[in-house]
Amino acid sequence: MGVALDMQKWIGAQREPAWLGVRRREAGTAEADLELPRWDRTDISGLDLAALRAPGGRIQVHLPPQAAQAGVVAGEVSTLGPEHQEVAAAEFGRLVPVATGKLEARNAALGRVVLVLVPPGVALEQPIELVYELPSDPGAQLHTRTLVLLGRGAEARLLQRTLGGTTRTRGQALASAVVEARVGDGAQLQFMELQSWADGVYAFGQRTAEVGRDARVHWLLAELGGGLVRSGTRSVLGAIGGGALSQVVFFASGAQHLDLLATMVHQGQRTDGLMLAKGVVSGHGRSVYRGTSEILRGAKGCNSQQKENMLHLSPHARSDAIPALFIKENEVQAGHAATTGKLDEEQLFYLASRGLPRREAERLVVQGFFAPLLERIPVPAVREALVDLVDRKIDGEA
Amino acid sequence: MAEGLALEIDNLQVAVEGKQILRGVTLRVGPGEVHAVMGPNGSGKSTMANTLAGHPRYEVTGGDVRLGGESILSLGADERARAGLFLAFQYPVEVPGVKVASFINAALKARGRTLPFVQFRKLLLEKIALLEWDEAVAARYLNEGFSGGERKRNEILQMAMLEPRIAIMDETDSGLDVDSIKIVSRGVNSLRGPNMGVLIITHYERILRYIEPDFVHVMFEGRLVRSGGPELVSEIEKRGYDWIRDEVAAGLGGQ
Repeated sequence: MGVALDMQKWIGAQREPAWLGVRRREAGTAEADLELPRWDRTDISGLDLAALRAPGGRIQVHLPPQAAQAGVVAGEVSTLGPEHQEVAAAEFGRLVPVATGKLEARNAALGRVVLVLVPPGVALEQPIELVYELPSDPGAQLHTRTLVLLGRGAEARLLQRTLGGTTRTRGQALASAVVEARVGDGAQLQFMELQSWADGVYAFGQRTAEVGRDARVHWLLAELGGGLVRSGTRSVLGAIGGGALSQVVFFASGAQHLDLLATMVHQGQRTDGLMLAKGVVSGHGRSVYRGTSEILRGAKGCNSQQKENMLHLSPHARSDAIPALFIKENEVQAGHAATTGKLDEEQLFYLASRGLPRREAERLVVQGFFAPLLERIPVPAVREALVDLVDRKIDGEA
Repeated sequence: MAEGLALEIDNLQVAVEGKQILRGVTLRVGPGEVHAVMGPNGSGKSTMANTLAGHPRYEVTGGDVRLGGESILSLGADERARAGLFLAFQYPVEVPGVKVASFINAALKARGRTLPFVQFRKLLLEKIALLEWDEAVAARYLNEGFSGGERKRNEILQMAMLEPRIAIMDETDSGLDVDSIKIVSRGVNSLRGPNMGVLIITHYERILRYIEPDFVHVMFEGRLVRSGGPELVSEIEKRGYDWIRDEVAAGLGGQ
């Protein structure tokens, strides 16, 4: 094992805006003092922080030409001009504070920071694409923090692809992806993520959106990769009429452990939150899905709903759905529904009776299970990539 | 085996959950022949259909089934289908998220028949038109939200696309109004030809007014107790099934 990374030394060697160095050093100090979190049902004690080298990996930001013309800014803050530093500094750590836990602090201390600014009134059809790729050898770590600001009435789509990492040893590669998004009044953000970390990677994701008056955030996430994943979205509906839709598809195969969270915080009146999750578990895969509605005082007339559907392909796989409701206001609506099922033998017989071998029939049923969500992905190449990933996971169980 | 003999059912005996349902059924369906198996509820008709298709719930306790001279009893449902057997289900199940077109395409691929997209599309639209249906059905999820009539039409659409050697139609007419029966029957009649044998399983004679069978068999208590030509249909139409029950009780039954 190599010498453990000297975090403060690494921070001192970065060439980047001064404010970021200051924030990194604070976060690095906090990280050293904090313990790894202990979560119910998800044990990350297998994460070997001492095995991790200095951060590395590839970050790509693709801005559609139309977006640049409209004044949209997207890029790593270290590459952006001084005029963008103030806003980046103000947003950094605002929605996902750096000292809430060891992993958040590590993300702030070592993370690459990407800023996406969409000016008021600008509506983008083409998605802005962010690619975060972890090197494929053990000891790699990559942390990213994506700061998103949509001005009043703006409309934008972001597609974040998180991938790469080692398939060999578990717990000796670490990835974390933080998103802090401010969705201005009347604005609409669609945030898509296709998560396909390799199966040796421990991965953490925390995405928070603050949704303005009559604004909307739509999370559309596919959590397919990683050895152990703890990943969530949090939608803070603080203003009147704000809305959030969280759609998650996930697939825990082999020995994967996925712990996924969706949280809606209702503060504003008539806010609307809907959390939909569809998951498949196979092999010895394990999933935990935690949907939480927090309805605070003042959120009169809000509606918070959640629905989970699980499909089990193996008797050794396990899934837990843990819905939670915290209600501190009257005149609100909140609800929860969940189903868990196995593959339906009558469906499989029907498909077999047309000549499809068992595995092919299972593949169709599983793809069909995900289809209503996948069909909402507006980029055909991404949709196809996702279908391929799901196919490969089904084949992996052969 | 006689050259080209499509389906031979030989003294077939079947049990479901330990209860004997078929007690020795023998039937030969030659290429291009249309046979009807009629019988009252509970006589074993659907058991026969599902057993032929290879449903795992049905246990063959004796006899044999051959397709093109080869026994198919050791084959799984998918292998039987690829060998040319097709079952139009009495209750086609929903498969959410799987589009009709992609399902049929997958079934063709499983048979080693991969058509270029444009050609597949053209063929599919032709067959949809044959069934007087809206082409939007191609993009709908398999049987999800389909009416009873649409489900049966969808079975015939699949049959038309997959071109089986032997098509078994299990109570295709049940729950259909006359117009739907006519449409479905026209579809089946257009597929009739020297390459396909058809076995129509039905309680009622209605569908046989539109798809005229060459041979008619009556099933009762797990056996075929009468076999004849189309005239048997009119006899059942006139007299129902009770006379057969009486004859069997009097010991006049048998094959």
